[in-house]
Amino acid sequence: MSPETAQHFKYASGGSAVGGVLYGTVGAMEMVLWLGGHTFMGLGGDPFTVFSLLLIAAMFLYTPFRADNDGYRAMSFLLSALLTATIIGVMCVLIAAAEIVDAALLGEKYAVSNDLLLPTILSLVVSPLWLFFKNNNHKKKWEEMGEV
Amino acid sequence: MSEKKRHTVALAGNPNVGKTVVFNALTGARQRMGNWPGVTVEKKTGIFRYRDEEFEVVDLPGAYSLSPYSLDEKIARAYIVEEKPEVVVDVVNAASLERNLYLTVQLLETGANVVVALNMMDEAEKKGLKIDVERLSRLLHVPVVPMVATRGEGVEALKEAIYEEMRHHEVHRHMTVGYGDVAEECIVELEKRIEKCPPLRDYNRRWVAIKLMENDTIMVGKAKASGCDSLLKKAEQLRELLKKETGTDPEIFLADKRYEFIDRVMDEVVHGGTEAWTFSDMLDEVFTHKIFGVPVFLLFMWAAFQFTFGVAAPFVDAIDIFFSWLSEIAANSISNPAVSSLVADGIISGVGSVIIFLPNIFLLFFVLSLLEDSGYLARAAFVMDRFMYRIGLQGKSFVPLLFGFGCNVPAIMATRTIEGEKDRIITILITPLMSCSARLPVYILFASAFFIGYEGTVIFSMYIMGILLAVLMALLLRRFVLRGKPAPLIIEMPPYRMPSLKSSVMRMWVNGSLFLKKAGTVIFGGVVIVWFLSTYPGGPGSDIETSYIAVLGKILQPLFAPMGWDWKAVAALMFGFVAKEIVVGAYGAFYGISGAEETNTSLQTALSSSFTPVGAYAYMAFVLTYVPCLPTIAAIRTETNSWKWALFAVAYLLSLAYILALVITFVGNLIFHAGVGVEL
Repeated sequence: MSPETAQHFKYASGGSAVGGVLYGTVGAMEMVLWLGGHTFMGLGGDPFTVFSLLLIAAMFLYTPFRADNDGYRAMSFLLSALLTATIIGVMCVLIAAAEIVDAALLGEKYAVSNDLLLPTILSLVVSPLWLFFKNNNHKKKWEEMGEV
Repeated sequence: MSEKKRHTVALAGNPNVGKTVVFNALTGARQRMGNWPGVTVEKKTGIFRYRDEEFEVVDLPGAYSLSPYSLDEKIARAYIVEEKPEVVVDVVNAASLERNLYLTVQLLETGANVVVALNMMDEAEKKGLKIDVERLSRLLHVPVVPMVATRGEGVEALKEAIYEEMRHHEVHRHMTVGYGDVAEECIVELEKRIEKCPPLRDYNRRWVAIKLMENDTIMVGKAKASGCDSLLKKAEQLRELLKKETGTDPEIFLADKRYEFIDRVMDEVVHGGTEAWTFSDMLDEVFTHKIFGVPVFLLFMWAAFQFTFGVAAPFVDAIDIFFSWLSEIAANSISNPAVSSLVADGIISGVGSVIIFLPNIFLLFFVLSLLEDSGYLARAAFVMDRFMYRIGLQGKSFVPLLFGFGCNVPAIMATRTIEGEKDRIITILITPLMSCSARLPVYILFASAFFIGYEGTVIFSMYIMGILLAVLMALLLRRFVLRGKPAPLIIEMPPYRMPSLKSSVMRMWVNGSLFLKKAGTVIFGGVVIVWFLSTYPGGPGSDIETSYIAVLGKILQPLFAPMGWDWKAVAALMFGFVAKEIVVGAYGAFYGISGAEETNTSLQTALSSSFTPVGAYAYMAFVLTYVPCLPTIAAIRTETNSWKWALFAVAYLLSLAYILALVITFVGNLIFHAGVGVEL
C-alpha cells in the first residue's frame, strides 16, 4: 500500500467506523423496540427499518477489514454504504410525502411513521457525503489509485 | 433486361455492441420493420448498394451465443443455419473482445461466411488496448474490419469486405476449435453417421455433430422427427463416453474448450491496457459480494416494494373516492333500478376495479425501469441465480416473484425480462402463489376471528405456505410439464448509471397503458358477469340469497362439505374470483352487515359460528391458493399469448387449493380432535 493509499484508507476507515457505529446503534435500538413491541419517545421500528439500518452499519464497519488488499477495496464498502443509505433516505422521504397526501385526502391527522423517521434523518446526514465522494476530486484520485 | 440478384447479409452480435448503429450506417433510410415469423420479436431489414450490387441486410436479435435457450438466440440461429445468408457480419465490441468472441466462434462453427466488424475501437483505445487486427483475421480465417460506427469510420471498408466475401463465398474455411482427442473422435464418428440422416445433411456436418454432442434440443428434435434413431443412440453413447473421460457434462466441456481457444487468441492479439477501477467495479465489490450480495439485494427489493405500494396509496385512495362518488351520482340520477344498478354497481364499479390497479402497476414498472436503467437488475439476477437454479428457474425469475407479494398482475408482466420461454412460463404459473396484498384483508378477518393472540403468526404462515408451494410447484412443473434445464444465465453487467427519469416514465406509461388496454377489457367483462350473477334473477335490491351466485354456491357446497364450509363460504369464494379482497365484502352482504371490513367485530362474531379454527385455517389456505383473480388470469393470457396457460393456471391452482384445504382439515382435525366444521 502506497503512503497516499494508506492515508486515504485511514480517512475511509475513520469515516466508516463513525457511520457504522451510528447506524448500528440506532439499528440495534430499533430492533429491541421492534422485538419488544414497544415504542419509546416516538421511535418504533419495523423489520424493514431494522434490516436497512443494520445492513448499512455492517457495510460501514466492514471497511477496515479490507485493508489487507488495498485501500481501494475498503473504499468500495464506504461508497456502497453511502449510496445505499442515500437510496433508502430518498425512498423514505417520498413515502412520507405520499403518506401526508394520503392522510389529507382521507381527512385524517398525519403523524410521521416511526419506521420512516430514523432512516430519513440518518440518510439526510450521510447523503451529502455520497455526493462529495461521487462528484469531486476524490473520484479521480481513487480511480488513479485503482489502476493496476 | 435481366433482374439482378439481391444478396443477403445478416447482422449478428451481442446486445449493446452498436449493431443498430452499424445497421443504420450500412442501410441509411432504406429500412423496413416487421416481425419474425410466429413471434412478436421485431425484424428489421434494410438495403444498400455497393459496386453495382444490391444487398439486403437483416438485423438479427442480439445474442451472446447460438444456444437454443432464449428466443432471441433461437431466431438468430435459425436464420443463419436455415436461411443461409451469403454473408454474416458479426459486430464485435473491441473493448470487450473476449466475451464477444464466443459468438464469433459459434458463428464460424456453423460454416457461415463471417465478416467481423470490430466496432468501438475508440473505446478499446481509451482502455489502452492495442488489437492486432491482421493477426486476429489470420487466426480466425475471416476478414476483420476495425470500426467506430458512431463516427462512420470503417463503414466503407465493411461494405468492401462484405462484397469480397460475397464474391468468394464458395471458398471454404478451416478455422476449427480443437476439442481434444476424445471429443474430436466422437465428433468425427458422428459426422460419418450424419450422412445417413438426410434432413441433417443440409447443415455443416461438423456443426451438427457438435450440437448432438451438446444434446442440443433443436438438432436432437430434428433427428428424432426424421427417425434417425441409430444416430441419436450413438450420440448418447458418445456423450456418456466423453462425460466419463472428462468428468464433465459434454456441453460444459465443449464450451470450456471454446473459451480456451478464445484465451489463446486474446493472448496473441490483444496487448496493453490499464484496467483502472471504476465506480461500477467498486459498487460491484459489495453488491455482488458473496456475503453482502444477497442482503443488499433483499434490501433494495424491499425498498422498491415499500416504495411501490407506499407511494401508490394516495392515488389508490383518490381513485376509490372518485369511483364511489361517481357510482353514487349514477345511482341517484338514474331512475330505472335495473339500469341504475348496471351502471353504478356493474359498469362504474367494473371500470373502477380495473383503474384501481393502475397506480401500483405504473409505479412497479417505474421502479423496475429505475432498477434496470441503473444497472442493478443485472446484478440482482446474478446474485439470485444460484438459489433459483436449484428450484429449476433462473436468477431473473426472482424479481417478478417478489413483486407478486404486492400484486400478481404487474409481477406477471415483469416476467418479460426472462429469456427462456419455459423459465418464463413456470415463473408466470407460480406467481399467483405469492400472497398478494388483496388476500391480506381475508387473512386478517379470519385470523382475528379464530386465532386471537396468534394473528401475526397465522398470517405469516400463509406467506410462508405460499412460498413453499411456489417452490414445490416450480420443481413439479419443471419435472413433468415444462421439462428441461433452466436457461443458463448469461448476462451483461452494464456500468452503473444514474437512471433517466424521462426513460423510466416513458416505459412506465407504455407498459401500464398496455395493461389498461388488454387486460382491462377482460376484467370489465368479468365484473359485469359477476354483477349479473349476484343481482339476478331477483333484480336490483333483492335478497342476495336468491341470486344465481347463491344458487351456484348451494350447488357446489357438497364438494366442500369435507372441509365443513357452508354455501356462503363457497359463494364468497366465487366473488373472490373478481378480486380476492371482495371475499370480505361478500361475507358482509351475506350476513347483512354493512361497511364490512376485515376489522369489523360483528362480522368476526358471525363468522365464528360458521367455522372451526381448523376449517378457518383451511379456508385461508384455499384463498391463498385457489384460482387467480380475473385481472391475473387476463395478465397470464396476455403475457403467454395463450388461453391454454391461463386455463392451466386456473385448473392447477384450483386442484392444489382443494387438496391443500382437504389435507389441512384432515390433519388439523386429527391433531386437535375437533369435529368437522359447521352443521350443514
